[in-house]
Amino acid sequence: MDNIEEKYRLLARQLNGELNDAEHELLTDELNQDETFVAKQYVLQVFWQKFFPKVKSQSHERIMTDTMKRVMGIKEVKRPQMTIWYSAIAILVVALGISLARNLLVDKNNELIQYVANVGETKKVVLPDGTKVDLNAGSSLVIQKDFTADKRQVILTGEGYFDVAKDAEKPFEITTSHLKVSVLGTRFDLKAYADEDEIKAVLDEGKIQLDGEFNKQQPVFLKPGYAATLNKNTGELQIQPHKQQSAEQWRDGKLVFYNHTLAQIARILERRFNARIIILNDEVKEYRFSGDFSHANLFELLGYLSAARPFTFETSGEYIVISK
Amino acid sequence: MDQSGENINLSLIQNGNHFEFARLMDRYSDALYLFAKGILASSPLAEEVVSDIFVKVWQTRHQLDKVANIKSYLFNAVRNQAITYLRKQHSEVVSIEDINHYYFEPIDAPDESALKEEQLRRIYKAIDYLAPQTKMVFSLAKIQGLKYKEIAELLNISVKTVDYHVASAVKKICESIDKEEDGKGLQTLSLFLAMSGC
Repeated sequence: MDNIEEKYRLLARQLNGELNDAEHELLTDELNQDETFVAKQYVLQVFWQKFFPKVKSQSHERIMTDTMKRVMGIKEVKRPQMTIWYSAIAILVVALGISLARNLLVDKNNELIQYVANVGETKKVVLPDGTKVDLNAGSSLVIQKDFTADKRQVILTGEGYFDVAKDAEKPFEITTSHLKVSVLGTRFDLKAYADEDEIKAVLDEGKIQLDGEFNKQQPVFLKPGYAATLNKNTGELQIQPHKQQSAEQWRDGKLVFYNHTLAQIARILERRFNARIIILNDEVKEYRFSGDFSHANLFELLGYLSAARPFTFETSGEYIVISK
Repeated sequence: MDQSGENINLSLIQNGNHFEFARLMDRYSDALYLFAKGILASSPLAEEVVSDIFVKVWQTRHQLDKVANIKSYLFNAVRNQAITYLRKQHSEVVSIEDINHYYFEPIDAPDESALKEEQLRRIYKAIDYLAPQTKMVFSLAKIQGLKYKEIAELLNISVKTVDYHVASAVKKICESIDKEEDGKGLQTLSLFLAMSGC
């Protein structure tokens, strides 16, 4: 074994929370004698506390759903575009957080049906009431099996375009992690991916009501041609006229960016191409791009983007690594 | 990832509560997955190992009251299962001391990153060059947030040896921060190639 100086042992123990009082004094002495060691201690502390590998939500969800399916002994019942499984419970815990999922599941009739568009595909589904939903890649829609109750309740993670069947008696409610949307009959796009900072609703026709932490008293309504964007971190809701047609375009298999950051684009590409992308440089994450890339494959697309604003990308094992 | 399992109610799971079981998985699956992937260097295999372990927990849930520490129990189970996989591929691997490679998952810098890219690159490189056992012990302390004592029990080594490995990793990282910059682009590439086991 190499000889390791005492100061490194002390620093290592400090980082891991193993330091006792006497050792703390010894470390303080070491630090007082050596300014460069103080700088290193700082770097190590920041690294230790703030830098972690990000387990891809796909791996996390796969482990949870696979395990749930296995322990419940439920075979997927294959119907066109439909699987019935209890593992929706696991998805809900992941996507909505424990407390929200608990509220929904305490219901006596908690049998759930889940519709899934996997990474790399989109899906069209028709719900029992005739409502049509297009699901974007990496999205899931859960409904209660008893869909004919007094409310039509669904849970969305990811993005869906809804064409809700009119039924004034039974309001249609969509729950997402941070926002609830209530509708009668209408057409709109709702995007609520777990790994994005924003939830966005774009209304084409009709009227929808938005509820969440942002409105304790007054209901908030959205009119056609407007988009509502909720920032999950600040809780702020913004309503603006919607000029682009991006809401529609993913449904036709198009891939169009409007002033998107490279960080946002990376998430979209991960879902569309089933890729794993890591951006090493913070500055590069903020580069913005616009354009129609519907016909490009993943590497052509990265090539076009890096030609417009230079960055480097390399494949490494299962990752694509982007740096400056 | 250093979260204690205190508010996971094992007796609920013992009574067949799927929801509490989902919470247990949600709590530990990332840390266990990274540990399994470290040993196996494969995402699908690591996912399978972790899922197998949770299925086993569920199947034997009526004995959960005999488990003193669920976190240690899960890590031990993942270690055994991962080694069993390795043994099938390389007959010379019989226990955790024999592993000759540990995969360190690339780290995504947080958005308000306080470290310079160059510093990070050097830290990664230093970690990449650590001996496999040192890298594993370092990862368990830094990434999984295990205490020295927990690592010692998991790997069947003394706390003193754990202390040595983590200190040795910290020393190498400290020394790497001093080094002069050389061939920046190449460095990143070779680092990631090395880390992904190519």
